[in-house]
Amino acid sequence: MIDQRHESTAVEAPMPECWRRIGVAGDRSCPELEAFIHCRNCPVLAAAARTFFDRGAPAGYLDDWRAILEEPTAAPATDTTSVLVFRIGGEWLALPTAVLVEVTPLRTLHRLPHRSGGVLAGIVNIRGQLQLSASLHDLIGIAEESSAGGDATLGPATARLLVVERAAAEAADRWVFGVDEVAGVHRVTKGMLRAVPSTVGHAGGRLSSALFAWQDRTVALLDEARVFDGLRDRIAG
Amino acid sequence: MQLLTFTIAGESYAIESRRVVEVLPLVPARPIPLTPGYVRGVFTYRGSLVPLVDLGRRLGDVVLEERLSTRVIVAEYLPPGSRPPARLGLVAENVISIVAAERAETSLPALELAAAPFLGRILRIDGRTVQVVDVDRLLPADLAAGLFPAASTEAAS
Repeated sequence: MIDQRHESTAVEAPMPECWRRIGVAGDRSCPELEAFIHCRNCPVLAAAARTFFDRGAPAGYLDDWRAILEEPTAAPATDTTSVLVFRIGGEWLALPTAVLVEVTPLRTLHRLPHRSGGVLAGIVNIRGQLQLSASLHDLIGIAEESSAGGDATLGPATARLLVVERAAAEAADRWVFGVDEVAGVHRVTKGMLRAVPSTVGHAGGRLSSALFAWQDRTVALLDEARVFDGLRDRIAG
Repeated sequence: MQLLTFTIAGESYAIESRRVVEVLPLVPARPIPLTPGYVRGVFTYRGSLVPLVDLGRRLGDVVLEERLSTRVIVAEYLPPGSRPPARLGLVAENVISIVAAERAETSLPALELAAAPFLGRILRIDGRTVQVVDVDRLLPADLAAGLFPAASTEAAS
């Protein structure tokens, strides 16, 4: 908004304006460019800027500014959390980025004899370290998406692995799980969060701490503590 | 330490840039009657009223020219006593550049002038002689107490 107002009261500069003719905004034929690389480093431009600011304020400029300054600044929302939004099956979910370590492409999952299946999917190699891979589909109770079903435009190419970690006293609690699509990191304010209805039939309702609207969808914000505890209980049990 | 430089009557002065909140165009202020001439008045700054001090009148009897480069420096101001920090607008000319105090070739320690306690160190930087102005000591104690009453000035907004 401020920029627009500046434009409305901009002053024309009756200056050599060499930067528009032979400088970076012109044909770049100025010999000084060899030394200065860009016009902003050149003393001619600095001198022109100084003369520009040595003129009086154009009519209406100060009144525009007074009007701008009279408006209280909207306090920037300080209660924002950044969350990673991703999709599992038909559900859009989010996890606080604080627990996120990385998002990587799918890689080979090594199943563990007699242990895999259910929540524990197997182990994967993440940067040379073997990590336990869990099935969030199973934990939350969403059917695995077959490549044929679901939204045809979202092929398996959108699938990613999320590496998440919770700092724990003895050893860090690190898990890898596959998601069908990652929609990036978004900021949500406390005001956007709505409580999960107690009558929820929503998958993952048990693990969600809140719901928020994102684009035209409703995203369930997972409670990271409940997810980690859930994974740990299901694997150990 | 970075210094925001400005000029008064052709001489360079500076204030510490960490005290600078914002540099604004020379916005009109509402005068306060019966205050010293260097108090231009108060202006509305982002929803609160901030006193505006004319550094030209404060540092000398200089009338500042109305140019685009004559601007208002909104600075953090710590009133004397244990009052909460406040904001103070300072009008100065040529508020254009910032210099690093570390580049000073030579300097003179802060002067102790009873008439001008706000005048600080004098530095020689890049061929310019720059004198540092201490924002907190710009206003005499009684005037500061009057402009920044113990009760929060924010109530005025």
